[in-house]
Amino acid sequence: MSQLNRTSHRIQKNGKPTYFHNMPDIYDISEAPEIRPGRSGPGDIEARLASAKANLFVNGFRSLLDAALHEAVHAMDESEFRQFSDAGCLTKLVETFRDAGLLSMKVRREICEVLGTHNVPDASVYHAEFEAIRKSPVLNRSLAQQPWSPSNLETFNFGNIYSQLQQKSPNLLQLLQSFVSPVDAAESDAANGKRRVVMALSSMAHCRSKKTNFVPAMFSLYQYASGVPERPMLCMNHLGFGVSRRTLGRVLEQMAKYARGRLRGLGPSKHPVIFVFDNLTVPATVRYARLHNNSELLSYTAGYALLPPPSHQPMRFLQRSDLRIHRANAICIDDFIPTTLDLNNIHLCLQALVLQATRTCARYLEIKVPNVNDKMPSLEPIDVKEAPRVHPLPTYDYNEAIVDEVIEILNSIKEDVGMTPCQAEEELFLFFGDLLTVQNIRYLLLDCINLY
Amino acid sequence: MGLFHFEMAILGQIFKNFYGDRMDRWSLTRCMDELGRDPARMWNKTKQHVQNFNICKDFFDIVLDGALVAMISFYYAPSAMTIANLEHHLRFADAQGLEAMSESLAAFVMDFDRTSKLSEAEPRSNSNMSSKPPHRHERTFQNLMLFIQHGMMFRTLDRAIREGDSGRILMCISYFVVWFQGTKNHNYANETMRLTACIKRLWSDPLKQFWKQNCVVNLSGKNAGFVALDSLNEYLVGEVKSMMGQSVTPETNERLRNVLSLLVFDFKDIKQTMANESHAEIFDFHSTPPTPWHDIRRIARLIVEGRVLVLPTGNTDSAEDMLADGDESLEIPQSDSYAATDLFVKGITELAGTKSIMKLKDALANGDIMYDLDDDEAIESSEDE
Repeated sequence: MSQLNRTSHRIQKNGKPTYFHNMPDIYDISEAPEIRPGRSGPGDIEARLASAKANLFVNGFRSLLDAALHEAVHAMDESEFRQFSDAGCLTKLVETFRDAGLLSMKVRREICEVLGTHNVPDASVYHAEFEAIRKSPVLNRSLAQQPWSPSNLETFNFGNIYSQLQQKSPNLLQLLQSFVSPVDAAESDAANGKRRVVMALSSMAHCRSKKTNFVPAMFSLYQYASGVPERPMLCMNHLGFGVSRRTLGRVLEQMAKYARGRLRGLGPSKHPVIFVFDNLTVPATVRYARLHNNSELLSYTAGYALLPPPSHQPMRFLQRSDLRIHRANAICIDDFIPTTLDLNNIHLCLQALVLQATRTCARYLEIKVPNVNDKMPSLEPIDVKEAPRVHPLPTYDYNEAIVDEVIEILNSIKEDVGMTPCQAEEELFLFFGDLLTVQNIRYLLLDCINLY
Repeated sequence: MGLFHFEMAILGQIFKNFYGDRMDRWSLTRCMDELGRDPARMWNKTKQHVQNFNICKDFFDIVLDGALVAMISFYYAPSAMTIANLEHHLRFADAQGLEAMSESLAAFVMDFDRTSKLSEAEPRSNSNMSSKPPHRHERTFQNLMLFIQHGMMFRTLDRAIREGDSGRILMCISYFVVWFQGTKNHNYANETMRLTACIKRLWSDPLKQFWKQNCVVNLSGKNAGFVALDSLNEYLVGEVKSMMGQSVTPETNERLRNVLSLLVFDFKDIKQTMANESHAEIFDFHSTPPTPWHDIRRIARLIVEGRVLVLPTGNTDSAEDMLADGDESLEIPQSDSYAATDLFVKGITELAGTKSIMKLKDALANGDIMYDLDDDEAIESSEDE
């Protein structure tokens, strides 16, 4: 009883117990003094309870709880019970017993058994629901054995996964959700709870079947992409938050296979592609020197193909129509001198730079200067909303500084993007890179690939 | 030609042109000395190229900001020996006054003709100045004014790239195509000419438009998040290098080149997706650089207290007069050891000779698109360091 009293005092706020703030007034004991004039506020609740218990004792009851039990058994007023229950009082009563440590394991088990007779799921239901989850497509995907798809990233959404799991297994999710509900309601974060439920279920499903590895594989991919060393990844795998090294390797193979297919689709596409590559030079050290495995300076070539966003995709450019070499004769000095318009715009840009420097200076001096337009003129801005697609090329074991090897690089690119010989002969491609790259390509005299 | 490497070449030329000596009244070496920077980490004197682009760019930005602050301070208080008055003037400046100030300074900086008259590098036959040798302080003034002009144009290009404005990029290229003609970097001089010729004459309109829409790329979706295509490739190269194991074997090598290299941007997407899904907003966090204000102020003081910057109100003679006024009493170093070249005006002179244009036309007409490489290409290697 003293524990109950402590709870009542703990939740008391501004002279009115906060627990009853959403309950009908009849359960608000602060109203009692008005009903019984002469009494003080709820502060003397112990005296009031003692008085009530004394009356009950005179009438043969051992306690208030004893009286409540007898009322429930012998004289249950259903509407009164519903009112009590709907107001949350019954839940609070059970919670109070639980918090006070009065519900032993034995009592809890007995309560569950009693409730089980009233269609509350038992262990077999949870088990069946878990199996349904494990076999559902949302989790039961083996990234290592299925072809990689960009939709894997799109469907990796904790909110959606949780919703789908909830449809499959409402009771299990309800149970788990109750475990992750924060004790303090103010710290409630529904998304956080859902993430943890999904992670826990996916980890357990993966433990049960190694093929059910969608979430763990994504987690391992994230770790790998972030440069987590292999040993921590192994530990994470053993703790259920990732797949094994071998599985990860197979997932990476699937992704690379998809990437190669994606690259190969660029050739047959009717839209122009930009190629960018540069040298990759790095000293490679080896621990175990072998005849074909010695420390050396590796000179590779790494690059990518850029596919503009759909709204900026013209048709492929052709050498005969888009490169008008005959107009070279018309080139004159005026083409290389800034025009009057250029000079006016340069003036506006410099003015903006002076104003920006002024503003920077004022900011450091903690002075507020008048608001003046310090933006540079916007001439031909590129739309920021649509991002182009960037498809990395394989890293070629060729040195772009050597002209012969540049030929091999271009042939490899041609092959990797699925370009036909006819395309390579007729079409026009833009290449970007450092000066050496661009000039070395030009040395090839457009024999196999045409470029500007 | 990639715009990132183009920027590197420009910065290299700026360092080359204004490097000077630590005993100069104003030079980049003097600024390095003032700011406690190690010149060896920035500029390779033997090979004449920048050692590390990012370090050099950061230093350049500070020096340019310092010069601009000094210029603004000088505009408001020409006779002041410190920048202390600047705070007072800015506090009481109105919008109209600020615009007038920026208008005036911008007009002065981009008055290429006046700057060229000040420059020793220019033949003085066309100038109305006398043929007498320049005043010893005049050279410092010229050097600084040229640095501000070149530096502001470089910064305009840099901003245009970051903000993804191909019109502004082309506007800057129209300046630098002339500018490079005045340098000994023939590779970029030819390459920028070639690009300009392609855009203005040789390419069809759709191809020209295609270049404009794709010369820079924005993968982050942020307003100032554009990068040059070759700069993005540097990111790719860095990522591939980072995936290279400590011990390379033929097997790991093969896997790196044919599997992992293909997935660099997929990995980027995975990291982004995981960050979004876990509500960890790590992709909006960037390291905050330390405030450059103390460094900027130091450079501004170097210029103002050394009376390096004098803003002529009329013709160049008056500038000379102002510079000569009472300077003898100051304990300042002698004239700068170097005379920066006005590359723009020199470039105009080179172009007027039409040799380079004829060379380009011949090359294009004959289907040969070769240009000789020279040692300036060495700047390319600095990016890997």
